[in-house]
Amino acid sequence: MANITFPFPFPVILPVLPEIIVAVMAMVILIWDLFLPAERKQWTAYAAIATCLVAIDATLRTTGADAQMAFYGQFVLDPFAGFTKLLIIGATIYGIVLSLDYMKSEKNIGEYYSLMLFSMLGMMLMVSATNFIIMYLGLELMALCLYVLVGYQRDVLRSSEAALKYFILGSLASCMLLYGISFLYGLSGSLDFAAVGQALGSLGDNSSMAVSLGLVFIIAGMAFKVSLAPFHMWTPDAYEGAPTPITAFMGVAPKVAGFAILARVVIDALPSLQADYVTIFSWLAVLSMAVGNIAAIAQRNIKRMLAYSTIGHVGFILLGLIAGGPEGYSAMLVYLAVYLFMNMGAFAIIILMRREGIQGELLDDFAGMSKVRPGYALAMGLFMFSLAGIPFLGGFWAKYAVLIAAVHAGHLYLALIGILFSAVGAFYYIRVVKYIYFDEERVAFDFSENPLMQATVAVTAIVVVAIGIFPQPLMDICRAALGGIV
Amino acid sequence: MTLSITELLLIPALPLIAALLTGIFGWALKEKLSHLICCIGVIAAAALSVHVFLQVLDGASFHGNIWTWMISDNFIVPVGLMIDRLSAIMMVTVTIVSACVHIYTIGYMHGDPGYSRFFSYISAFTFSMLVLVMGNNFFTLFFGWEAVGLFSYLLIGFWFKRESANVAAMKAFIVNRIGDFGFAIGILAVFYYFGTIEYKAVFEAVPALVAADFSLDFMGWEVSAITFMCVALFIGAMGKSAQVPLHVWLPDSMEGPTPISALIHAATMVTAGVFMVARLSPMFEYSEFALAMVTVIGAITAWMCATIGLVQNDIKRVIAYSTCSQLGYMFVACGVSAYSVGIFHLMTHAYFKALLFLAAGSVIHAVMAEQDIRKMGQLRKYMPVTYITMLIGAIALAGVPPFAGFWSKDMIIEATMVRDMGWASEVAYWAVLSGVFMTAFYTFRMFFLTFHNSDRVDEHAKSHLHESPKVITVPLIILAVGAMLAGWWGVQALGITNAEMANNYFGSAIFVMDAHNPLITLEEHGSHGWYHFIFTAPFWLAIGGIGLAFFMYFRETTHPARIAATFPWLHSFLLDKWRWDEMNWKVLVMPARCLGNILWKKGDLGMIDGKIIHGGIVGTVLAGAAKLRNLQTGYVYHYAFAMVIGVFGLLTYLLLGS
Amino acid sequence: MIGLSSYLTVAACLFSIGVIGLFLNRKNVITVLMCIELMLLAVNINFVAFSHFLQDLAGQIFVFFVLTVAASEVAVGLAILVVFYRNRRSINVDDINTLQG
Repeated sequence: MANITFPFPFPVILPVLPEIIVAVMAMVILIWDLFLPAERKQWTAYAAIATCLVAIDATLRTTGADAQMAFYGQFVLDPFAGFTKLLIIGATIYGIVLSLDYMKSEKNIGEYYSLMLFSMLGMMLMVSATNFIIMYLGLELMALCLYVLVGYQRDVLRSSEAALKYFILGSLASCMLLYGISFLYGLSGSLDFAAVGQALGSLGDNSSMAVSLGLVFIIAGMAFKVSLAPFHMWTPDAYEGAPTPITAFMGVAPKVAGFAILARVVIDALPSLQADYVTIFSWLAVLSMAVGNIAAIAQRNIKRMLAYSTIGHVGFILLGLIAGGPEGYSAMLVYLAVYLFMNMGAFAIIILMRREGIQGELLDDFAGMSKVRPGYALAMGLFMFSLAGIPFLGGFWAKYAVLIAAVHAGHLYLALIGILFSAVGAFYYIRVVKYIYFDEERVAFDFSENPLMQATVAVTAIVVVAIGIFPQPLMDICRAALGGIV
Repeated sequence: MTLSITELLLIPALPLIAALLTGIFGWALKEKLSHLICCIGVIAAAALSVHVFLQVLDGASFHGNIWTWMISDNFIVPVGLMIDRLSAIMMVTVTIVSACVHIYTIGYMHGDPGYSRFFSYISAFTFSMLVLVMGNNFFTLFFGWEAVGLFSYLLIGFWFKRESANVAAMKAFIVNRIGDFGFAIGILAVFYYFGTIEYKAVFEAVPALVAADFSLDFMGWEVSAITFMCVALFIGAMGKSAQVPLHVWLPDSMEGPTPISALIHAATMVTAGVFMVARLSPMFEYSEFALAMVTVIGAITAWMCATIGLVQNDIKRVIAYSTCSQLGYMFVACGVSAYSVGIFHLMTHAYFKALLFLAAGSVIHAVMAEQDIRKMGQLRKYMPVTYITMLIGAIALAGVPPFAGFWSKDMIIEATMVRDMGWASEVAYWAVLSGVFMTAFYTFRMFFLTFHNSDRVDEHAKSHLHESPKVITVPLIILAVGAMLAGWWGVQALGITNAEMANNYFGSAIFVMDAHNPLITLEEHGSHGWYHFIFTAPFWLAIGGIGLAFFMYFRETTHPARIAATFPWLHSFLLDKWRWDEMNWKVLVMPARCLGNILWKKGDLGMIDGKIIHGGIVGTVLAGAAKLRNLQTGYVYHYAFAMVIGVFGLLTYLLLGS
Repeated sequence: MIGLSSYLTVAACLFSIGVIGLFLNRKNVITVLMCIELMLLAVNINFVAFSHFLQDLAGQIFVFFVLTVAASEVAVGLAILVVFYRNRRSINVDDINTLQG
């Protein structure tokens, strides 16, 4: 057979395989849903879970120790992207499992699950982007789907209000991000991270105004996505209004994607501005830890409380990014991975508690849970203690990793501030435990009995404890996952 | 030749699995299933231990890390095993005694509401003890050390509805904390000076450290680093192995069920200190001061607890003080560098002391939970098996040949005699020698009062008097065989007391400097025939003690009362256990409580809670929380404004800053 | 000759008008959508201007993507607005305030 030669290099698509699978399946589910009778709509959820599992498998198979480029170098699959994709897909599976019971009564549920898959697709593109266009597209795909998902309960006022707020502020943040990118483009003449990084490194001092504009606007846009103060104001409202499974989903997955791409941008595109972005990040981190941990104390609604707690936690995660270097970035990944489990676990318990059709959302609803459901109470206690960073649970090692990285990188004061605010934070987490174990039951409990969800809670609790006792494997994996970027 | 890792790992894993199964699913398990799981787990571990021991006898060993628990900078915490002749003999002793106690418990705890909880605890304890003896570094030692302490605490307070049990558990816990403080400092010092916590690496580095003559200033004293470490570690051993002045918790720990008195507070956990000193012999050998301290503390404990044992009336307390005293003997052996003899005594003691405790438990069980030997008597008629096995245990403890206790105790005394450490070994020699007489006396006093003398059992208990069931007597018989043969077997078959370490059973597992080794001196004095014991003082002292006990207690006589009346102050002084508890109460507990009260009322409630927390920190935080809540107005334009302010703030900072 | 800085100034003005409109406007959410559109256009002017002066096509390609995304963004935004209107019977910015604290 004669050798076939293409007039142009044939595009490499293998590294994009997981994304292709997800995109195709999301569309298939969207259409399949139209042909399913009402009582079988739940099948779309299982199809979505299956898609995620296949995507995990494809990611594991395609990710190698070396970076693989696709789309002419605009898309990269390296261990860093692979690992963060696994976290994102994991969070999506959690989100779908948590939705099984919660969204049962909603119509057109197929759209819901395919929106989740599209949102996940956006995040997967984001973490693999090496170019501002791909990054922007991924980010918008993620965000547009999330806006809709937040407002999915169409006849609930606070759901649609949350969606509207999230949409308006999210669009503002996108504009800021684009505005910043336009300046970096103008300065460097390229949209590739690496090329931007090189060009910025050889710039003179006379363009400092434009550089600062670009840097600040880009960071502001991305800080919004990961809810860093003062770009966090949307978070509590969107968390409270959104359907709880979506709250859980967007409490974790976009944070993973946001931090992953933030790390990639600062490493590849902004290395010459390290002093500047470290200063900016330090302010954002301190502000986030302060606002998140202090405002959470005044909350009575546990979803809102966890929203503020998220703000506090992203402040901590940012410490890893500030510290930089293999130790700092791997600490960031450790924190994200642990945070995935403990946050999802806490939300799962919230979803399992439904009182007369309304989910238990107030702190008071937890009073006396230990007497009725000791298993759930124990799991919730574990998640709360882990979020508070009590040894020997997963959360402790996450905090330990970022704090040690910060100290080694010379940011002793940031670490001390972090410890101070985590002490403040312990107060409201442990208050939940107090409600569960030491207060009398106030309203009759009515628990959801979905076995899949119960198993999920059990597994999550075991993982949190297991990471707490054996942190080393996770730390090793996170260190290995840095192969592609540092 | 190396051992199979799987087999080695199974030994601690089986009891752990059994403990987890009964612990987690205990509420759903019937009694029979609970004890089946745990007994099978522990008996299998015992069988594997014996198999490993046989391989070790053939020269096999294992040393290596299996897994790294965590790494933080240069602080690496590995989990690994060091199986040599020292750990092998400990594994066999621990698992066999534990297996006997497990079987015994089936009968003893029958019908207790916490039946499966108890089995879960003792299996978990066995696991912890195995980790302690099998580990290859200070971390596993520490883990096992703390875990056995935890289960000891849980088991002393097992009947948590009894106040005395809770108090005893607290006491054990607090006293052990004091020792553990020293222990933890010792381990930290080891890491500080050697940069590693693995035994092998530490042992190899010890001579260099000693040669470099590191010293540190400890509260005004110039202390060499090695002495500091050894003394700190030994303070931990004093707590765990109940040595004066940290011995006060052990007699009180008898509040726990009898099987755990036998397993934890006689045969295994309390000997952890002795094991540690022997395991760390390459460190202790280089510190004359630490060795002298071990010898003197051991001798004081051996003598003092023997005197207290003379007058106690609670059957378990007599044996408990005897345990303290015998632990003192083991430390004396280690202190005079006869580590192999110390471990030998540890092993023989494990068998006969566990036997005595279990037999005592059998007696207590028979007389309706009565523990006072003044309310027993003539029990030999009702419980012949218990009678005979306890007699064997008593003879072994008293040190009459050819029973187990004689071989090891005799060697300790001879080693102390020939080792020259100045006044320390002199004091120790006289203490352990006179201790032999007292040991024989109090053992047989207890024995005669229980099984002979006059019948003082009350009517109600008498109607229930009967021999214990087979699950109780069979372990007694197994242990009785051990108490008879372990000594002879150790000397003749294993050569545990051979002078040259090369010929000794322990070989390279224990390090002794030739100049220290008392066994070499002993051998130079000429080898002895089997009849040699007739010419030694310990033998005649033991016979004398038994004789005196026979004279005073075999039949009901008035001698004891008359003697007590002649020396009333001495009698009450001993009966009050040298007033250690009262002294601790007045000197330590009361001032501590007063200080605590002042700090609590004035400092904590008044200053910290009142002024700082509620006035200052908490007030600020709560006010801040309320402010932040007000900032979150709910209006989109305020949120957008915050973002814009953020951007402008950062821009201004960057442009003005640079 | 109109230089690069003139284009950038126009874009900056447009962007600022958009931002200020976003938080000064207290009446209608539709105005907010228009403000967002204005900011995106400012960004596009920036990109086209840079693209022209750098003689590099990437910026103009990005503009196409931004326009496309902006269209879908408005579609999603209007849909959410309709849902909100059904629940609240109002699209006043001042009425979006049930979630707070």
